[in-house]
Amino acid sequence: MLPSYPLGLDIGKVIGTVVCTIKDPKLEGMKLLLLQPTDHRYEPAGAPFVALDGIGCGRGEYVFYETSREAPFAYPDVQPPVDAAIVGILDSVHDGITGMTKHS
Amino acid sequence: MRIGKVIGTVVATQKTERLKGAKLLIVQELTVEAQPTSTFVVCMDAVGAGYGDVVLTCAGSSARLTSVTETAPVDATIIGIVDTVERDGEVVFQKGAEA
Repeated sequence: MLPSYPLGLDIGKVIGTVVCTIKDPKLEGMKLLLLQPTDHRYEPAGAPFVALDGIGCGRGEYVFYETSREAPFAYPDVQPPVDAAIVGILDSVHDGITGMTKHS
Repeated sequence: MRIGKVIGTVVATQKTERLKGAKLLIVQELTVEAQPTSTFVVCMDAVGAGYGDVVLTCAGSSARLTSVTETAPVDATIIGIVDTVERDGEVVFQKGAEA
């Protein structure tokens, strides 16, 4: 049984980039991406936002991301001031109810 | 993080000790295409942003992770000044080019 609150990890699609020259020193050298959150069928769900790239991904890729106070742990030694960070690239999503597997 | 535009300042003389010296700005949230929304948030400035700047804001307890805000009771911080936003290969915001 899944809890009624949203789970910590969510999935989304990388749709663009954001460039900031002036930024917090902890963000130096880090990449900021535009992320469109999606449901487990890769359909858009909600408004796009900016996320820190914690792994090196590119436009069009489906990824999973961490939000809130857990997002800085994409870089645990630096702890950058971010509230969303991409922590993995999706290969496929398997829906246990329908038995369908969707590949990125 | 959300993109927003600095539209004003907040001045408070009487405030908690840990907010002394803090610059508080009113930020209107924008969509990722830099279109205005009806959501406003007061942010503590960590990068020296000014009126009219399009900025990147961080919310929640992560907002306290900059050197400026680490001891301050804040839940929203400006962590960057946005130069460009590119979506689907198209530049949807360019600093200095906005109307």
